[in-house]
Amino acid sequence: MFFKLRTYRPPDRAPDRHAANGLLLSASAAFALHIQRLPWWLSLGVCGLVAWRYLMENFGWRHPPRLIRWSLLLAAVVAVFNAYGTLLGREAGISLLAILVGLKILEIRSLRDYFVSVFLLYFLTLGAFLFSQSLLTAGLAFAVAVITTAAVVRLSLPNALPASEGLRLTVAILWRAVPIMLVMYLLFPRIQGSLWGLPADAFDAHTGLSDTVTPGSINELSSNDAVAFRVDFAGQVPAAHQLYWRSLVLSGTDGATWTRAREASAVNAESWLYSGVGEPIDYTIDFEATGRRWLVALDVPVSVPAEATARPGFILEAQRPVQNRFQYGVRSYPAHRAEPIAPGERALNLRAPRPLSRRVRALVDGWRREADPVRAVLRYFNEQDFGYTLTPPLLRENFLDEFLFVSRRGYCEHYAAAFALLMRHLGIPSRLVVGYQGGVWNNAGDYLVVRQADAHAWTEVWRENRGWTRVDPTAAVAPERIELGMNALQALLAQGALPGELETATIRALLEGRWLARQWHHLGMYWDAANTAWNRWVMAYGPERQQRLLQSLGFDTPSWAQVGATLIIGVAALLLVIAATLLWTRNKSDPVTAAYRRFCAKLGKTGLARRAHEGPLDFYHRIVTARPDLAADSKPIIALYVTLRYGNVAREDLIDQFRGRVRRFKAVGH
Amino acid sequence: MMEAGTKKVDLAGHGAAAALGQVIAQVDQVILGKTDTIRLALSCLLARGHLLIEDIPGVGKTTLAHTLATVLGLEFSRIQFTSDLLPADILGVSVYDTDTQSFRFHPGPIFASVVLADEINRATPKAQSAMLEAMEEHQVTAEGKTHALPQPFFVIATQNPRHQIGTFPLPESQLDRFLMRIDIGFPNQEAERRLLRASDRRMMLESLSPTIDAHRFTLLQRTVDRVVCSDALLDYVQALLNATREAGWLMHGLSPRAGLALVRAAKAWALLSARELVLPEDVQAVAPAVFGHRLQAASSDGNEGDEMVERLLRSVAIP
Repeated sequence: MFFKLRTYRPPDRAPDRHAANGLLLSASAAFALHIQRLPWWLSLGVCGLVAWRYLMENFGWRHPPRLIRWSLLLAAVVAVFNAYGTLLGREAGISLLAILVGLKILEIRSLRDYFVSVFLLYFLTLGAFLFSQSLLTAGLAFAVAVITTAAVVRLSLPNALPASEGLRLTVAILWRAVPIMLVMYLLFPRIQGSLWGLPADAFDAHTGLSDTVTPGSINELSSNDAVAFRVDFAGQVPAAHQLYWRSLVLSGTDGATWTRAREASAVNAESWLYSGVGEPIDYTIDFEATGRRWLVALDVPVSVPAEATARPGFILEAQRPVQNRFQYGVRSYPAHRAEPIAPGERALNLRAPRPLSRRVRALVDGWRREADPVRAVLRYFNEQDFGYTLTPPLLRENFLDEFLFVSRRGYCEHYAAAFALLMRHLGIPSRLVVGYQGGVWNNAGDYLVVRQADAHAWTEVWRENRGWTRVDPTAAVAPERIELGMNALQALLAQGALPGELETATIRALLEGRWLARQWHHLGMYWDAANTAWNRWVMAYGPERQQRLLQSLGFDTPSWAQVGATLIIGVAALLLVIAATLLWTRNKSDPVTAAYRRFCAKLGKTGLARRAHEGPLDFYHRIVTARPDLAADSKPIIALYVTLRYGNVAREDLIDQFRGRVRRFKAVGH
Repeated sequence: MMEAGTKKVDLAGHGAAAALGQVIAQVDQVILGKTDTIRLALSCLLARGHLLIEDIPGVGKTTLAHTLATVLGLEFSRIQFTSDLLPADILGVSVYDTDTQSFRFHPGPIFASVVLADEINRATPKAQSAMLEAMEEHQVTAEGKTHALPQPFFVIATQNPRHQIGTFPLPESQLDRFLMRIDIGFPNQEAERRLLRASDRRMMLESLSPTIDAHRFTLLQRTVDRVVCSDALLDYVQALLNATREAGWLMHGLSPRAGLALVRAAKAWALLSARELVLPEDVQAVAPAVFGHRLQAASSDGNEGDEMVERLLRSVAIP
């Protein structure tokens, strides 16, 4: 069988060139795992060390003298300290480890040194998980571990072993490690919070929405392809124009910048939770780490996840900044019952900086006479020469005036901000909502992927009898943004098309793209689905799930000591099973062989040990020569052994006779 | 040897052990002091294998071959290989017969039960390969017609050690056709004295009479097939083969064919030792002759074949 282990005698001399090259290959792979994190000079240095060793192994270069090795070591330590200001911590530690492993490989002399290097390489590989625990990292680290294990196997076996056998043995060994891995995964004590108390630099990249909006600020997100969150719908998936993921509600403004209004927190905190109308939508969100507290939910959430609190404006907020990816379930209703607006809230959402420029005032006064000012403003955006662009001109002094009469170019933030301001001037309470809109459906995993690029801003206006109502002025300018999503819009803009002027079918045809691009897109979906499965099934096993597992195992309140003990017992039991099966397959010798071994052992005590390559007859002749007194007793034993083992005879009576004679055999020394 | 516990070999009424004992005794009279060599040669023939004797001239290679053929009652012919030997000189030619107005095939010296190919490495590769093909196929194709060779059919080839001048060493693939390669070596002091004192070996050969005949020899060969070879022994053979494949000091490992040859030769050796089962000792006894010419040292510091086999045997434990 492929997974069968075979025992080999360890090599009796230094590994050959090929075994050494195997180690160098594994070292290169382990270094490659870190190359994007190491400074360039360090990568170069480590490559140099490995190359040096390669020349030593293959082209007879001499060992570097001690002086050079010590100077290299000193230089490496100084350089790392210089670069990071410390030798501790994640980045500096891994850099130092990498360069030290390189130096160790350079100075290898004995077989022991090779093995020391191998274990350092395993440790270096493990270091990759300090930075990332994604599926990609796990896969790459596993590949490196396979290469390193193959290198150990190659170092431990006779030189001329065929490569295929080495590979087979590697797989057989790793296969046996799987159960141990599982036990460690399930039982290794899981710590709430960051692993090993990592320093603060472990979480530094904050992405996503910010707490304030100045038209132009989401811009950098539009090119950010990172996943913001993934959504799994329990039932029907809402249509694209319903997918408004709200995160923040901004009511305060100075005309240019929108902020969260402090006063708002006093107003009806959670009353909206009970106001859902219509068919509920249930969904689970895999939320990526942001380092902030805002979460996302569809309009209008009615349940609050355990880790979150409800905030005014139908929004959910995490209790702690989100430092790790986490999962939460929400129920939303597409509509909600209107409730009377509190006077304070009304005043807050009507506050707008004055004065208006003359031409804006004229415009506002015109709309004030309309029956439906909201519709009138939207129509204005739609019919006038407004355009959607991701690279709008900079607006400086008077945002509203410049935007409405000069630039007329912008994206969601511009339209939402302008619209909200106009509404306030028209006496309609309105506010800015920031979040995400749309998302891309992943067929491979049946879930919605929302990226940072899908960030969006829209407005809500207060209507009598209808309460807060969503109005998205961007849809009046570029309906594609809502109907087809940000991806499609960006593709269109890249092709020079003008949003709002093409038939949907034409657009779809334009977006269909080439075959290769589509396949690439599909591949990407599968990769994302695999990542999501990894996050859901592997990474999500945290302290709570472990607690639950342990409780199901019978620990009521598992203590660290208990978990540790369970882990040790579990691993020990597995190791015993593996060792037992190995010994069993090795020693499943029949009673005849076992008895013969005992016979040989008895003689061995008198100094007449059977040589490993000595056949029974040769052994007998030696016994007769050395100890004629034992000849008479040995003769029938040897004869029976020969018959039973080599004569294809399996008679129980002869076996019993043989074992009896061996048992009675006494080889007392002279 | 010791037979306790093992049944005395009853060779199906042919008295094989006794007969073989006589054969060895007869040959022993002519080739003095070389019992083990004679036993190896005889077990090679019993195992239906061709034999290559490699030694310097004058130690009795030809005499051994001739004596064996005579004592076994087999038809003997001899081909002296020279550099101008042609394939037709070995296989035979068709000659126009004026009486019958047709071509008639005149069989060459290869049509005999025991063919002595003397100094086979003196001939050109062309002549060698004609010979070796006959050895493999047990038949000869001449001018489009196939002629079967007699049964049994053995080639005993002799060759001078390769470092002599003017020779065409046999390639590995052809060496593989020989079940065993043995050397004879110098006789010991006592044997040499007897040799010098006695009459000419060739005269003795003429006075020698067959102990058995071709038919009985065939029966003996079949008896070899019935010698028991247990799984435990096959484990050992496989361990030896694996060791050759894993040993860094060998150029390459041995083929399954070499393993087969080893088992067959060990069976014959066991029969010669009057045993009906093969022991690791039998394998060890024939291994140098069977493996010696099939192994090549990885380094060129000139390990002799037999030494490599000894090293191999010492390094492999009997399971």
